[in-house]
Amino acid sequence: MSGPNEIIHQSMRLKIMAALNVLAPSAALEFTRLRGLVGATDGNLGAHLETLAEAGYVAIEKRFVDRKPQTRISATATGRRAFAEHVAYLREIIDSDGQ
Amino acid sequence: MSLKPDDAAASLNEIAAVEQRTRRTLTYARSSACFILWGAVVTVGYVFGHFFPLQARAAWFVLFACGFAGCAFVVMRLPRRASVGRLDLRLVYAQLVLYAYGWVFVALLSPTPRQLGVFWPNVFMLGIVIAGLWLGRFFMLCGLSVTALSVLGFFWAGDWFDLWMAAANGGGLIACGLALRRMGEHG
Repeated sequence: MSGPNEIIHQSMRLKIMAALNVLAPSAALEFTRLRGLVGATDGNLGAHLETLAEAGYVAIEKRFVDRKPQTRISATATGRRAFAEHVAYLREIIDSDGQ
Repeated sequence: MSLKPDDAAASLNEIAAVEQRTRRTLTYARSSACFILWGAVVTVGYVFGHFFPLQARAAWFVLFACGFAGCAFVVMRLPRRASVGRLDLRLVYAQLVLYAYGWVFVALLSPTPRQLGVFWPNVFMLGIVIAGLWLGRFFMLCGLSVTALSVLGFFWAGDWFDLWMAAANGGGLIACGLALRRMGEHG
């Protein structure tokens, strides 16, 4: 059994990856929408996104829409793989406990 | 670091909850455009019917065609943001099925124009309420509210029935669409 992914396992980062993983591969979520989904504050979400971006798990795109700044976040292929592996690890723990 | 089974189960539950919330939020955002579009279409239809009752029947055919085409356009134009993109064209097909079944009942029962005015919105509200069983309670609330208002109008709106329906059905759908959009934006 492999170990947990230390970066993803933190509760808020787990929620972030879970939300982004629902999206289609090329799709992204706006910062404000993601904030609502995971129930974070601006600062808290920003800090966790930075950690995930440094690990190469999420991509952060900043752009202007109608002269307003917009931040869009998507899961990278590496991030999706890491998330899937972490979920598999969690299931393995539960399955091995039941045997 | 090693995890206990309880911690693992808690994490998986957390993941499932966020995934469900994300899908629901995206579904709301995606559906809002169709609600607003149909709200505008039926508002025009009822207002037109109030002032030009003789041309109302022909106008409704044109407006229904515009509604279906517009909804298909909106659904296909929206970016496929998530796995909820599966909703896409099935949303339009579901409306067409309801419309076809509606015509079967119209042919069998030959309702009066006033009965028709309350029959068609309720055919679609039935679809919305049933969809709400899967998509979220807000859909059910929208459908049931418009149904209640349209039935009230049928019995008590008198000569103002068409205008009542424009506000209750058209305005109701637009209000629901705006609320869905807001819920979709803010999670």
